[in-house]
Amino acid sequence: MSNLKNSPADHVAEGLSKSEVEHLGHLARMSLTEEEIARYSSQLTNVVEYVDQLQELDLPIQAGARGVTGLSNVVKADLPREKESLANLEFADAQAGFPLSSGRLIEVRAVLGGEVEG
Amino acid sequence: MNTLELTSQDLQSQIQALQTGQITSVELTKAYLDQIKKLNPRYNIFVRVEEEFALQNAQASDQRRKSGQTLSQLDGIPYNLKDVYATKGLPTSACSHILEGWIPPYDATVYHKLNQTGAVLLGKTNTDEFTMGVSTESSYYGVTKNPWDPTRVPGGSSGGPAASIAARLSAFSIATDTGGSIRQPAAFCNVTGLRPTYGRVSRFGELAMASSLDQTGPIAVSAMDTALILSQIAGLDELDATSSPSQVENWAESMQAVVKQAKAGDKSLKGVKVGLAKEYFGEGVDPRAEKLVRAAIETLKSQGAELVELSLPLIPKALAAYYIICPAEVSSNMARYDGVRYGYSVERQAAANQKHSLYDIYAKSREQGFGAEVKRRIMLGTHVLSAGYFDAYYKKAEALRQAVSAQFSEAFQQVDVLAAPVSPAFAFVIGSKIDDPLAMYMEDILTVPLNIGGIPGISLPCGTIQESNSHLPVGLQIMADKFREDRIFKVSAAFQTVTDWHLQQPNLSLTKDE
Repeated sequence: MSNLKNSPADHVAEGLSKSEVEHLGHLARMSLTEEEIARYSSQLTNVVEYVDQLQELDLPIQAGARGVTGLSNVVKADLPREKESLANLEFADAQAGFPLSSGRLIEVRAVLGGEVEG
Repeated sequence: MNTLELTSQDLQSQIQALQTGQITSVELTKAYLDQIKKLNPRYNIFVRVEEEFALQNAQASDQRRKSGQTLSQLDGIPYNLKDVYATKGLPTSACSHILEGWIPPYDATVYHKLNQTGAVLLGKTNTDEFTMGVSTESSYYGVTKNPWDPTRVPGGSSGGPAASIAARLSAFSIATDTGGSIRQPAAFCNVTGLRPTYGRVSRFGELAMASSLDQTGPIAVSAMDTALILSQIAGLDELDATSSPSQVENWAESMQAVVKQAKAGDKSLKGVKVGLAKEYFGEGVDPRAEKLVRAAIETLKSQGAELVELSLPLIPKALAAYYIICPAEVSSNMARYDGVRYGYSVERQAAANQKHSLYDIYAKSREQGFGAEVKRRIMLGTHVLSAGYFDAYYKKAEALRQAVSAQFSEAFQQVDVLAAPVSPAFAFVIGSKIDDPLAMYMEDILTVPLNIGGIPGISLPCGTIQESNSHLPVGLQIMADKFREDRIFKVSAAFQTVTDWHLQQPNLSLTKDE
């Protein structure tokens, strides 16, 4: 089996190579050990080969079809949320989860300008 | 009847006992707490017990009852939650290392509703990590042992909830079913588990796994119990844009009529058409399990139901669609666990002078915080959603989903319910499938079709198989059209009136592991 190329024409019946798995780990922001990469490559290849059976089916993709609920354009009324709403969150409660915070500030790392690993 | 005997009874009996003053909520709650202390070390069912909290609430319930201010039928009834619901001030972790120590700052709608009924939360029960699994083996807190045979799995992902009812450690449990996670463990543990129509119960505050597939449902001793609970937890929620405005009915009341008829020996299911889709039977299903399921279906016939053979050719393909759609949504939903806002973070472990880059905070926190199954699904989802693969996988799976939905709708023009096995077999030995994720996924082959279709289904105990020295339960699956839980309940009420599989309990032993 040739190395997996990232092109649609080649996807059929190919699994996930180790380099592909490593790439997916990067996309998903998860470091993986060498052992994990090898193990997941083999396990996920099995799964991908299984789900590939859908390729044999000739199914029309209906444009504009509603999702599983049949609901559409569900919007909230343009009113302030009620005090008792479960979705109201006090800042202190929200802040409590952050690893780093002080006073009324929460601390996060800079997106730009910090060291970024390839 | 002493208190311990009462905890072995179904929810209805306990409601009655409270109402007639035979027992107080504090007595009932204490009885459950004692049983949990005795059995949990062996079976690992509860991951967190909130003893003081429960007793306080039980006491408050008894006070309300004294002053004639009972909130509902469920007032004072002890229950548990699968460890995936936000409960303000009480830890929830989705049985994952990445949420260890997290204290939810808000309440899930389901939890809030149950608080308003006066029900008493005993604690949180074990699940596969982020509800991903069919065996509860991927839980950060270790596997739950099946009360029917502790060398075997209780099923998953709601292994803790199902086992909690099998071992009679709560009057009911609230769990989730995304691909079979209520029905399959209910079948493995000989309890009744309902997965309502998608949209019936609010998902606000339920830690999302796959947002178009997740649904909360009750697990209890009987279908009547689950109907009582559903009436309390269902309903439109403005905080969940996928929740349905469909009417919440008093299903239990309608079931009483059916029960009466069945008890009187009348054909309580006369006029009901039960569909048997051939794709759910035969090859791939353990013959002993199928035998029990077919016998159960004959029981329905003896109650006057008409059996209709039909074919749903896309059913066997639903699993493939599920293992594209589900991981895709998982990869999106797991992105929030980033080590920045809550939960496990390498920042917490870091020495004062050691500063991680943002990338490292993400990558290392997630590497260390997530278990293998979660990682696999995130990667699978990332793969099927990535450029170049989206059309081939995700779009195709969605097209299949529409087609499966259409097939179910068509079928329900001809029949009222579908009957089928829940599982291709029965509870397997702990560790026997852990190295083969695909084999694990295949366990769901008979349950996921309904998740893909968004329709409701229940698992009803229908007998046990003898395997080595154990009796292993088998479940009958009854499915209906969207928002037609009434039809499921009707069939279930009849079945559980003329059979007593659901009342059988395992022999629990307290001795340590063999």
